[in-house]
Formats: sequence, C-alpha cells, structure tokens
Amino acid sequence: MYKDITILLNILQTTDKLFKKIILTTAKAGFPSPSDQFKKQPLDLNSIIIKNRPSTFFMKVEGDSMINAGILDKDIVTVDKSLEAKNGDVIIAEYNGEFLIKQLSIIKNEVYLIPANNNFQTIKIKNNDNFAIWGVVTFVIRRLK
Amino acid sequence: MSREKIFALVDCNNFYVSCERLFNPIIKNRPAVVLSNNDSCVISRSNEAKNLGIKMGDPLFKIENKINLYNIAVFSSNFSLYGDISSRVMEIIRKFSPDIEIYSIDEAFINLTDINMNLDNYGISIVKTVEQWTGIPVSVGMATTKTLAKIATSIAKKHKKFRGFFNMTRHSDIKRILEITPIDDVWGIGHKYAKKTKYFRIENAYQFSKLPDTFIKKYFSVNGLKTAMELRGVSVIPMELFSTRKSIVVSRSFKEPLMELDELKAAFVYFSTLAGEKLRRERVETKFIKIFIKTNRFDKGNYLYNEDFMLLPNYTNTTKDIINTSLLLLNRIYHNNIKYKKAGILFTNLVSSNNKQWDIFCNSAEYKKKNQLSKSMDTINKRYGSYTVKYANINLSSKFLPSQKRKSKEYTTNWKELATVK
Repeated sequence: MYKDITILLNILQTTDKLFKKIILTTAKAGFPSPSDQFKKQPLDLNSIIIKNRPSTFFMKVEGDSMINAGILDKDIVTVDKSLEAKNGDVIIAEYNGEFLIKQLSIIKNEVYLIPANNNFQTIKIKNNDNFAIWGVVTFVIRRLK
Repeated sequence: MSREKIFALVDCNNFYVSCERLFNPIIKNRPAVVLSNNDSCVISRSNEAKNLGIKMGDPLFKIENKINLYNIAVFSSNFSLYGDISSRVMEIIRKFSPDIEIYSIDEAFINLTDINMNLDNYGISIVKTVEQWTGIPVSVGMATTKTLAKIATSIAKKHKKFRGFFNMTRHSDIKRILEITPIDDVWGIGHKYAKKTKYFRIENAYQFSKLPDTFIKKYFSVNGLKTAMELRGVSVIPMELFSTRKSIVVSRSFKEPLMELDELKAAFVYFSTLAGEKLRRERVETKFIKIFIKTNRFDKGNYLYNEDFMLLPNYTNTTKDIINTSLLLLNRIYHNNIKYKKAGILFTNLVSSNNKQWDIFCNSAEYKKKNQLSKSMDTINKRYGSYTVKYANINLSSKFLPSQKRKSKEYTTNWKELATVK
C-alpha cells in the first residue's frame, strides 16, 4: 500500500516537472540581443601556442644555459614534436640520457648543441653519444608576478 | 555483391613502456617493464625485457632476480600519462580517416574502403607520423577484414624488415600466412577456446578457416563462424563507431591481506567511488553489479574465491547506489578469519546514459538529485585533486590504496610534474 502511494507520488512529481518545463520554455520569447549576430569566440591563448595539439608538449627549464636567448630558469617552454628541426632552431635534445635545451647547429655534417650563455660549453655530438632530437621549442612562458 | 573492403589496424608497440621511454631517455636502450596497479605483476615489456624471458602477468617477486641481474627499469603504472598519450595517438589517426574505431587504449581500426590512395604510402605515412609526433612506435597492418588486419599487424610488429607496416590486401599467399599463424593468436578465438582447438587438433588459422560451417557453429558458436568467414576474406565484423564498453571492472590486490569486515568495507567504498567516476566518464549506466573477494592465488592449498551479484531495479551510475549495493553484497560473501588479497567490483550490461529506456516507475527527481551530486563531486575532484570531496565512509587506508613506489611523473597532465630540460 505504502509503496503504491510513493510510486503514484513520483509519477505526479514527474508530470508536474514536465508541465513546469513546458510552461517555462514557451514563456521564453523576447527580442534577441542585437549583439548576437556579432558574437565571436573570446581570445584563447591555446590557439596561438598550440599549433598541433597531439604533438605539442610542455617542459620546464632548469638552469641558465639559454639566458641570452631569452629562456630563463623555471620558464615553461612548448615543444612541438611534429616540426622538422632546422639549423638554428632551439631544440630539446636527448643527450646521453638527459634532456637538453640548446640551439641546434649543423656545420659540415657535424652536429653542435650551442648554449646561449658564455659560461657553458658548446657540445659536439660524437659517434658514441646517445643523441636524438626530441622536439622543436616554439614558445616560452614566464610568470612575472 | 559489395566491393571488397579494406581495414587497417594501428597498434602501439609495448605501449606503456613506450610512454615511459618518451620522458625517460636514460632507459631507451635498457630493458624495461611496467607493473599493474599495486605493483603486483608485469603488464608491459620492452623488446629487451621480452628477450630476457619475462612474460606478461609475471608477478614482481618472480622476476626480482632478473631485475637486479640485467638492470631492468621497473615502473608502476601511470595511467594519467598513458591516457593522455593514447588520446594524442588517436587524434593523429583520426586525421588520416574519420572512420576509426578505438578498440583499446593502444589500438584503433581504420576503415579505408573508400580511400582512393596508394595504400602502401598511406600505411607507411601513419607509422611515420605517429612516431614523429608522439614518440610512440606503432605497427600497422592492412587486410580485407578486421580479423585479417589483426594478423597483418602482428606480422608488421614481429618482423623488423617490414618497418612497422604490412599490407595483406593484395597478398597472393594469404594461405601461407594463415598456416604459420597459431590458432591461439587469432582474434576472437584466443585462449577462450584453447581447450577445444587442442582437442580437435586445430593448430593454425588456416585449418580453422577450412572447417565446415556447421561444425564451427556447433563448437565455436556464431562468433567462431564469423571469425572463420573473416579468415576466408569475407568481412562480417563491421566498424563499431559508437562502441560502448560492455563491462567495467575496478579491482585491486592489497599490499597486506585484509581480514576485518570494516577494512573490506572501506576498500569497497573506495572501489565504488572509482567505479562511479569511471561509469560517468564513459557516460554509461548499469543495472548489474557484481563484486568478488579472493585470497592469494599463489597460496595454492588455501585459495578461496567468493562472488555475488545483484540486479538493480533501475539503471544507475551514482556513487551512492554503487556503495550501498556493494556493501550489501559484501555482507553476504564475507567470512571471518580469511586473508583476502584481492577484491573488485564489476558492471556488465552497460547502456549509454543518453539513450537508455526510462523506467516508468523510476523516481526521477531523486535520481536527478543523486546524479547532480555525483557530477559535482567529479568536477571538484578533477580540479583540486582526487578525493578532495568524498563520501564520509571512505577510509583511505594505505592497505588498499595502490602502492606505486616506482611511478613516473604526470608529465602531460600536471603543471607541477613537467619534464625538466637543462
């Protein structure tokens, strides 16, 4: 008996809601805002920084080796793996088990990783080094405040 | 008759290990394995680890010697990383064709029937692009049915000379390939029918495909017949574009065995919370809830497994319903003085939340309220970290929280855990 009543109440509640909804939607008629037709998406930083979503990664800079290139300690860089690295690009390199951020330089078939800080040495890639280009650095993000 | 179809299967090689290697260049040439939740057994192996004789499912204690001897890199599973890399791989595959079926975290079928391009160039291009863009090596196989595409992919993976791509669509010698494909490796047959195939002395895919239809239907069901037809080159398994998962499982083995009912209750509240999140994330609901508890499977003489299930009156995916049901079931199957080593919760007969049939007697106001609560909790927990908000009876005892001592960082999903570059 008790159960039947609850079920009935539930049905009533539901239908009640349904009616309210219908009434509300029909009442929703007014003049559309004149700005509607000019409406555009607000600016989204991702649309500049992430050209290719599935190949873009973020990494964190540690140390001063690139300060003269405007890349400081604790900066966040975006790295695009889909780009073919060119001479002069700032790249992320896998070098003997470490990630390095350096400028790529290819001179007469020799590969060099060049820091942007006089206190650091240029690295010449040797045959027995474990070296690969991981990705090309595309943007630097720095918190000022 | 319709014209011949063409399918490709893209399969990531040693996926979890490959994800770890992407952010740990130091282990590039070292043997490496990834462990299951709670660090109990091996779920992914690098080729070097395979060559050392480490098998899928090997428990950690069994390979401890080899780990030390061969300096094997060992990782706890890091599913936030694997999930993110997987979605990147799938997004790239989708650029090649919109008609894809994501089959698992590391596999996708592509329907290439209507692609008017050189198939070889197409396949090679997929392999190259995914590897260059994500760092994940993949194998691609092409064939006229999904079942044959699976075989083509494993050939692409096994033999280095193919460089990750094998095109079986215009291969004149499919018979020869099927003859060297063990029946256990065939999609849809696998280990499920191992006893029967052994009994009938069916050793390879070719033998199976040549059996009479009535025989196959009798002993291997309609699905077995579908497999046979696909091996013969007739496509009968279509792309599942809107595949909803057929079941969801959340289970864990405990670091130390649980004996007290209260401890197990806490574990099931935790499982229910995870399971609820999983159901809502996949936008599915269930009526069928099953739980199980079991002792150590390596403790041969005393192995004990208990399970029970309940069919609910209404479809649900709210955490509260799942907790209530699982605790009720636990009370039914729990015994005193048993050392429970593993437990879990399972849902089957899932339906999509969008197109389920409304039960006329379902209390919809109450349902919506609970649903809203669960959703809000998901949002908060996603933003501020897991378990910021939780049900009062959830007790995160260290005994059943995954012990993940060797987990790498969440390089792609957490700003605080980015990889560092010098």
